[in-house]
Amino acid sequence: MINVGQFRSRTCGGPSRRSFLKMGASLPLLMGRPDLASGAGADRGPRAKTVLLVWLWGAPSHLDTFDPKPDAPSEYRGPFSTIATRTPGVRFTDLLPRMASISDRFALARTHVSSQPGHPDAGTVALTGFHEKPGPVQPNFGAIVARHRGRTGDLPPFLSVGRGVIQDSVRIVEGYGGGTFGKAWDPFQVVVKNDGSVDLPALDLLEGITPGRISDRRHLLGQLDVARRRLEAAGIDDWERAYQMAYGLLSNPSARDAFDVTRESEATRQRYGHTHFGQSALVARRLVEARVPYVQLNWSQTVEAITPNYDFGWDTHIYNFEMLMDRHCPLLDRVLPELMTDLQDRGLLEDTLVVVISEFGRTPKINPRAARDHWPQCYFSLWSGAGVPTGGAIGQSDKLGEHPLTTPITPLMVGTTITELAGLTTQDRAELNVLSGGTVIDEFV
Amino acid sequence: MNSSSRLACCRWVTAGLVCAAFGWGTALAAERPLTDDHRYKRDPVFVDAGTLIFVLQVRPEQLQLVRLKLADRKQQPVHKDETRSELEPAVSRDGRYLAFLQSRTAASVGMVIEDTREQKTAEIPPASGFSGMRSPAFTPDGKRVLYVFAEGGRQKVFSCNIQAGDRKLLVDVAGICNWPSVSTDGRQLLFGSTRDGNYEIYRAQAADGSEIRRLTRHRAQDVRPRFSPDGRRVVFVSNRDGNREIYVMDADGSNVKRVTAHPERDDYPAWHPDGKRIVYVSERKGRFDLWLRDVP
Repeated sequence: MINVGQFRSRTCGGPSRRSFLKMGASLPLLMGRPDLASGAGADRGPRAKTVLLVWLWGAPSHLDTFDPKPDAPSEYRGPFSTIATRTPGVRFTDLLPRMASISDRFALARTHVSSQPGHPDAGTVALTGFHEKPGPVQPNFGAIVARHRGRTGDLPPFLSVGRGVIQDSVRIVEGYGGGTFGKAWDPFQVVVKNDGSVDLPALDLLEGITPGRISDRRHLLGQLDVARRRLEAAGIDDWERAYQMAYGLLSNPSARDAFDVTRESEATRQRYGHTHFGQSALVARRLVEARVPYVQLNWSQTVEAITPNYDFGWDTHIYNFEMLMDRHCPLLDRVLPELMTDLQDRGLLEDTLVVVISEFGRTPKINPRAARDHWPQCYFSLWSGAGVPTGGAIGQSDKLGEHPLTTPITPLMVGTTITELAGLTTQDRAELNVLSGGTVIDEFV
Repeated sequence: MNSSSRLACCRWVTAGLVCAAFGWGTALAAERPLTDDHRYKRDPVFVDAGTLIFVLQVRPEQLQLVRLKLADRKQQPVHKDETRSELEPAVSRDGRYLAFLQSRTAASVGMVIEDTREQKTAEIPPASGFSGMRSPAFTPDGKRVLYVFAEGGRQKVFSCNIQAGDRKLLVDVAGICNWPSVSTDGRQLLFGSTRDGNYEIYRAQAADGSEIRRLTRHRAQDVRPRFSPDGRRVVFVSNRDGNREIYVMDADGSNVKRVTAHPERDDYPAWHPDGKRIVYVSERKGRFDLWLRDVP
């Protein structure tokens, strides 16, 4: 089911500033900007027609998941046993048996480093390749791919699936969107509820218009005029394209269908699990299937509600081992293997790049609260599809998981590699003035 | 049939064959669901033979304590107007006291002890910064509450009186301790600990935490032990057979029996007061419900 949202914070005099900010965060890529698409990538046939970035917000512990250190002292290694995987010489913790059973379908990179220890800053670095300060904030990798590729259909080229703009208790991750490209290149937000129903906040723009009433042209035009006058009065430019795109989404059943998981069989929905993250992943798979150029799938932000109104994610400063064991890893170990298997079964992995990554790792040494804190000096990612060699591990961390033993992988390298696989050349990036100085991860390109 | 379907199908078939081979068919038939809303839940505990309290995720950012009557399956929030997350409830044997965790601010969790008769509460607030207690459990006489708290990198077992005062350290060993449970006679203490590497189950003297004895020995995680009402058996959870299942063993660690056999997770077991059944959370087809079943 798709819900067309309303201007919940609108004032009597029209949309409030808050409403416009909210719309600003969700609308811009309604404007596909096909004029700026180079088309070069398409001519060359990019290895990754679609990029699916799975964003493990909050930062999972690398030692307790994909880079365990069973021989480390007890104050480091944690309580979990390790299990063999299908990748020779690579073991995961026993929290991830299904991931271990499909490890031949992805590559594990174990030498990521970040320069920032705090979530929003590190999030921006991880998603743009550059620091927030002194600014300006650079565009998200998704915005870069979207701008290069342009809109290829009725769907926006950069979608973010989750509960909204990613944020911690203090502020949003500035690098979530268009950055220097402008808010026109922010992702189109797809808000998934626990039951799998979807809210598309951008369609708030067409207040009062529902797919069921769209055939009433007179009513539709009247509503559009009302909304247009409000927006123009507020000094918002270039909303004509937004209307067109929103109207396209509303009026084109096939475009709307891409968001509708109720079109999946119950068996499929059950395999993903009736959780927020599970159903979000299913929406993401449908968007990949619809060949959206870039999809960011965000970890359920409040997966365990131990902290009120706080997007806790994988940020396990307390209860790390209990939470990983009770909730996070069982959920991840259900959804990710299902997602990768489903993509493969549908023949989508051949030209879809899947990257699973976070903003940093967690302290190898257990903290005084018997948990783990932030650790930007070493963390992991998973890569699959688009011809990336799978079934191996790239790089190695030291015996305590504190630092890379081999070449560190920076966020700039991640972004350069993603965009390269998505069809952008060095020249393309230079022309867009993005990812300057970046190099690719050789093993993946 | 794609490989996902085949994988799921194989798991169900395998589970069925295993059940048949080990004669679990009868036991499986004796289980019944207590809820059918499928929402995420955890931590069930019996108040009396006809009532239990469990934790339900009522919205993404809130876990709520819910009271469930077995007779009519009616559910009611324990604290109707509470907006903070509350979890891990424990109930004194006479049903008068309720202890639970309550979220405060970011990664900051306190422990509340509620006198339901007098409508009074006492609490151990979280320490400064990120901090939280876990796993409250009453002594059989209802005069003290055991709980765990981490400091200095070790998670230790403490106890306090029902006014949340007179805090005493009970077990302090290397690693992470959790899930304390006291036998009905008040003499024995069960707990989980990583003192020997991974989570195993241990028994000690309840009075002072001495005479620690290891009851399980497995590479998998053995967690959440609870004494049966007669103190002769222990229910616990282990992933030793691939995913989380529920097991029972004698109080000395012998005679381990697997109780559940589902391709998905079975967890959070709690004894019915009759000592013959357990309630637990079972994830089936990606949904979570409470189930009640006989214990072999």
